[in-house]
Amino acid sequence: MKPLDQQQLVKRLLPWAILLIVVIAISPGIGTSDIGLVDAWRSLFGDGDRGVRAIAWDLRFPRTLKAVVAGITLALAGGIFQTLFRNPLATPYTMGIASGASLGALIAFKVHWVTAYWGISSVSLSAFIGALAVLLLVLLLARSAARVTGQTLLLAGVTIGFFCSGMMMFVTSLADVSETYRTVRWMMGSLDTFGGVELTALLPIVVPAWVVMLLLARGLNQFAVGADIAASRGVHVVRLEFLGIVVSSLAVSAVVSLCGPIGFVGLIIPHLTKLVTGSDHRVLLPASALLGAVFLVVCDFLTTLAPGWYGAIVGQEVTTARLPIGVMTALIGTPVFLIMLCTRRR
Amino acid sequence: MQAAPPVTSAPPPILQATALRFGYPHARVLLDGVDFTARAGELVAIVGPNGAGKSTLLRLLAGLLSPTAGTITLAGRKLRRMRATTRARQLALLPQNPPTPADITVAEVVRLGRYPYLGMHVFESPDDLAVVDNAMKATGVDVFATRRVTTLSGGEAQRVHLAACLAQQPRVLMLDEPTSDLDLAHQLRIFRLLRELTRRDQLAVVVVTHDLNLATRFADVACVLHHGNVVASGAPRDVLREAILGPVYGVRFAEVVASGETVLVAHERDASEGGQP
Repeated sequence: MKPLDQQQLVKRLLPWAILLIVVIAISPGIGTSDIGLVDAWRSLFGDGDRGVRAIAWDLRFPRTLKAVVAGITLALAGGIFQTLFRNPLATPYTMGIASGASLGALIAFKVHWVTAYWGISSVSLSAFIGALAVLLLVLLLARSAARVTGQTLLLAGVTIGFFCSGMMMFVTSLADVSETYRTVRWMMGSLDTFGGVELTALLPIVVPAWVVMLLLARGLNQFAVGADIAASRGVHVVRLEFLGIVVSSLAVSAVVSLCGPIGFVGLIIPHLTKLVTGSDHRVLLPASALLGAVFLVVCDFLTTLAPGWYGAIVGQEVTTARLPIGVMTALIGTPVFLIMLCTRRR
Repeated sequence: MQAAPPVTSAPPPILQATALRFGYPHARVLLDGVDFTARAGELVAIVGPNGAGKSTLLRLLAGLLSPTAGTITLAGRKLRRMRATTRARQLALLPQNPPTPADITVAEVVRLGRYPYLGMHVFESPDDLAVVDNAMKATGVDVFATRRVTTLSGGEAQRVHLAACLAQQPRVLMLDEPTSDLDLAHQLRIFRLLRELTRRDQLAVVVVTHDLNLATRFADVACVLHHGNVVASGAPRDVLREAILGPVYGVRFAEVVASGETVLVAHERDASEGGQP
């Protein structure tokens, strides 16, 4: 493989970028109602059908953008965590953020705090608070340890995560069927949008985070061959770990609050990308981000298309509108990951 | 213990530490007033039993730890005042058993050594890549430059990490037990390479090692560390002797002359002498 330079980077990222643009472009044409790609695009121009435009561009398109934002964030965070924790099993949720967010959502459902502020649901806000509380607790715990390392943060995070799961069982034991059901549905993840406000609220948090995460690439390359080597070459290792973990966690918290804990993206996408790009974070991270976005958008397509296909196979009308996105990422992610694991070059 | 006067006129020290003290708060002092000097073109071996403070000394000299007292100068400048990347252009460190990412290739590892020179640039320049090529040739890893490091033998992988250090174009190269996991042939090869670097490129090389015989054979200066103190420093032939090493290691040494070289063979103290000071 040629040494990486600007030209090489563009060359290697271009196919993924084109793929992403293609899936975004066809997204307004895919959904539960009978509006095709041509109708969707035609509605944009001239005196297009207002109803069609509303469905294709006000419902489907923001949904896809949400998938893109979530996919980029989760894939970047997963890649960074796997390097910083030196653990191929690390995910954006390893630090207990998803458990904190879920507990927050459950409490909102339990106390029937179901309203919206400035277009953002109280459940999302509660989940965000839960996620941030976990992050803060983990950082405080790790700080009081003798030496803050990735391993301390990892252990603190996993422990707090388990604590949140325990508390969820406690709250669930007091909850009624509908509260429990809503929480379970929330935990399956969802890309449903309620107007564009969510996306607008998300972007100021995640976009700066992406920039920081991508800028860490060179430091992460050094960190991968050892913290001491990295430090001896001039990498500020403590700052790298802190920025990597806190910034990723903040972005993931925001995404999880609005989309629920969508699994598998953060775990498998960095591994999958690595097979193609190699382990240089300067290309691995942006490529993971693009592939993560493509993966989630395609999974979202499948959540709407799969029930119809199933209906066609068994020969009857299936009325289920949409599968939860978490089901689809697991359905696609598991076999892909396992095949990858077994056929990995030795 | 006085250091033996060098045979030729000694070049000025490139790395010098005076009265170094180090200890973590509420713990025992790990280094207690250590003086240390490394000169261009010299191979210094730091020896001593486990827990003597060898690795701590190396980490202090490399700037990874800050001493609680004492000063370190690198090329005439205070190490503490140097920017980390400026320091990294003068000094490279190869720690013990560095982790190896699964998919990384030999050339990629060596390219990482250019980090201190990149500044705000994201990618290595053609000049950087030329330095990388030279470092790979010097260590003989250029022949498997495209292979993944995980597929190499321990000795080959160690040479790759060494090449990455050389790509830093340092004046001081520090290694923590670089041969501990290697077979005899690779041990010799690494040490021969290190000596070559001191002779040809006038590098100052500082090696922490447990192998007293390799130290005797290849080092210009041996520095014996015990309980956080330098108990002896000087030419290996004068310093690595039963009289000095016996009390330090708590074992007896036989000095065997083989093929014109003195070889130290350790054996346990007799039970009757066990409690003797």
